[in-house]
Amino acid sequence: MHIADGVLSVPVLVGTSTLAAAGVGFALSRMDHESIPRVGMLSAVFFVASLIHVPIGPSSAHLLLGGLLGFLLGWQALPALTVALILQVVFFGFGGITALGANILIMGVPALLCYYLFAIRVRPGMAPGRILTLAFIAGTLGVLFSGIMAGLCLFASGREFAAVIWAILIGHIPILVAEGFVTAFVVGFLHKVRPELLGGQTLASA
Amino acid sequence: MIAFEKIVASLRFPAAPAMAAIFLLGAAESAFAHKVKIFATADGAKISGYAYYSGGARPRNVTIEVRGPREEKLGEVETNDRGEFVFEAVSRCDHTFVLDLKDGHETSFTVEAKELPDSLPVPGDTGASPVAEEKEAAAGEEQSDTPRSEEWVSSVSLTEVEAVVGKAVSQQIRPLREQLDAFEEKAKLHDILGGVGYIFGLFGIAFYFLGARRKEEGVGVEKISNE
Repeated sequence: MHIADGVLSVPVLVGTSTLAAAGVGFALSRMDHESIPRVGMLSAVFFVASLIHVPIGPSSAHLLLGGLLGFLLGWQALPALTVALILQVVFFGFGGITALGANILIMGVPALLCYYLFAIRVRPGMAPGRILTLAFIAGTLGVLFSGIMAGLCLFASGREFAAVIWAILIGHIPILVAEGFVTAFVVGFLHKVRPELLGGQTLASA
Repeated sequence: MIAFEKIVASLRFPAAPAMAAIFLLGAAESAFAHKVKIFATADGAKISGYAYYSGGARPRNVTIEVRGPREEKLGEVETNDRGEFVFEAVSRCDHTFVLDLKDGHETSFTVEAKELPDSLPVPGDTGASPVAEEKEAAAGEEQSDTPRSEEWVSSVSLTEVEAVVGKAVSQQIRPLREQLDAFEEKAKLHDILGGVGYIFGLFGIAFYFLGARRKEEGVGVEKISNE
């Protein structure tokens, strides 16, 4: 879900860039020493995952991993996404320089929502089944929220909302499901081997 | 598997998703990139082409708008089940094919006027003559400033030869152009690996600077030794 240059209107570009810069700035101010390797690793995962295209029916789509990033990183998902998105623009021309802010929000807001809705519910000693369920829902809703965010950005630039949402979501239904499983798998695996990594910064430092 | 988990457990960061991604990367080498593009060539007055995602899949049954050099709408085409479309040009001008997938993906491709046969009327001339009247149209070219116009009047067969040669050449180079076009769009493995390297490098630098600051403040030392 990358929006290219020249698609969004100027007020939307300015607004999203400002918001994205504020969000990333806030996240960076709270970034601590221990979280950096984790942020870097997930940034790389996101960078690679959104370049791998799985042909699905008439179209092709890629994993978004917004839910996973939010689940594991909380606010730090924003810098992780920013770095990866910048490199995608520079190397491959996916997205665009001016649309960078919009793309950060399209991925970042769902990540934050997934963090606050699901990841902070994870408690030490929680039943693995419940954690997997939370992760699965976070993964699927992450995709859905991203679609809605992209729809909102396009809508604010004068496109018809229903058509946009329809076009985006139809193509992403398989991804929605796949993303739920991937997120649940990764979170389940981490829960087994490094349970303290779950729940973003709050639990990691608690 | 247990040994694998132990290795992962010994790392300080989530290596599992990275490994999964690298496995996926190996499995899906042909399917990088996400961008929609159009490719089209003229074969006589018939412009045929197709829309495709840079992964290789093609959008089916989508409407492509055809615009002239001054953004005026010349018509619309719809892609078939294989993502292909055909457009009959009625005038010799730049044809721009615009595809808007409504989800933020947009693309355009221009077939330049010079790819189209001389027999088509140039817009602005009196009346758009249909493709069938090639010979009359060719004779009508006298007014236009083609340097070859004298020869054209003297020998009609030359037009025919030109048409045949043009067709053959465009058929021959079409696969090459397609390949080149697709190649440009293909995200290459080494670019991806380079990007991953950049990310690790950047976060490595951040790690170093934050670590250095904590050390100066004397906070990091005991915390690290605790772990």
